[in-house]
Amino acid sequence: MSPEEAIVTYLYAALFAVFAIAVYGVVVKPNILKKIIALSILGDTANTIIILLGYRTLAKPLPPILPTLTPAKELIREFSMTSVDPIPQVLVITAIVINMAVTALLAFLAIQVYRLYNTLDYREVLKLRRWS
Amino acid sequence: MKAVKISFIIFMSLVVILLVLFLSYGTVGYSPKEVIRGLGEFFLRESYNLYERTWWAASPEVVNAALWDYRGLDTVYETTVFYLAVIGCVTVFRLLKEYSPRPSEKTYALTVIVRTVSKIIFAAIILISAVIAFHGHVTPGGGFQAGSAFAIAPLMIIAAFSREFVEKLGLKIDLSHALKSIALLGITTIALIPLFYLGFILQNQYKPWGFFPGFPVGGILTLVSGTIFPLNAAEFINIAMGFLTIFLMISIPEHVFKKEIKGGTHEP
Repeated sequence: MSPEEAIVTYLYAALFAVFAIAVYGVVVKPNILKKIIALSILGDTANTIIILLGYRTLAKPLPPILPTLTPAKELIREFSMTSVDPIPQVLVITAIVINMAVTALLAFLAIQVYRLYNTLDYREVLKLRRWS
Repeated sequence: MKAVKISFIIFMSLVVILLVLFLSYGTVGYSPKEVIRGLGEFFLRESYNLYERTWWAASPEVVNAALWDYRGLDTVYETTVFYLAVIGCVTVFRLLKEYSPRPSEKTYALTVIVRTVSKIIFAAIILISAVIAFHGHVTPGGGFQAGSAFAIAPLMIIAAFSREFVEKLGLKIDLSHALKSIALLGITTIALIPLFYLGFILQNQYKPWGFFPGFPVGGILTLVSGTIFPLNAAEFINIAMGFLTIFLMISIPEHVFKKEIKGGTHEP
């Protein structure tokens, strides 16, 4: 295994570990706020994995932005041969903002739950709801 | 119960690992590698290809070209998702009467050091987010990124000063709603203009099989990229004002809502 491959494998392993921790938080933690935090960690980990899929293992990969407004033909060809994949970045930039919006909506719902029931523990909320 | 949870987590992790392995090994082999997928290479090659303009998007920033030209409809729908999320927040948090603080309500502000630094950083954030938005079609940036950067500014001011201070600056909920809707209308208008010239929805540049001549390219301030600049600007306003709405709603004091929930009004 070359050093580059070792680094990439390490990155995958670390991301999967974070992913497992986030899933643990979403499933096990009874506090709604902690669930939301874990969910946002989950989203960010997924985004990072997608970005990693689009990387290029060259010595000097470029960002997907042409450095000049009047590029020569050779520059365009070289750019398309050395730049990282733009598609994962395109997918992720919208996903990040949607993730933020969804997190805000969930936080609002959590605040509303706290105002109605004076607790964020979902087991307590279920107990309080039983009478209706 | 504990065993069920732990086995569920292991199962979920296995599913995701297998999914990623399938995506990377099954479709393109070991990833990342030296060669990228064909579609990505196509975007990189054609996005600002001055010599073969059949597929070009007139933007050297390939990410924004793909966002607003090649995958334009997708981005419009995601903008709609964001808009609906903000509307959902407002619906959950709505007050029957408009909230305005009474003079007797105490407002707390932080020390002079924090306030001065916040003022400086506030101006810097506004400037930088504007640059990210309005120069995003040439250099790294774009509407989504600029809106997210802008969103921090009112939040910081609310924390350092108070909600009223932000409203005194003119950033009120009504204004942010109006601006957000105007920005979404702008995106829709720009998307539909080519239809009147027998083009396609969200068409940016001239295509041989459409009659639309394409949006203008070039001009002052290196506005080179047709629809991408106005769409970025509209998206910036949409995202920034959406988050401003959320933060203004979230900073209304607790007791106002408590009274609302109990059935009374918060006005004496």
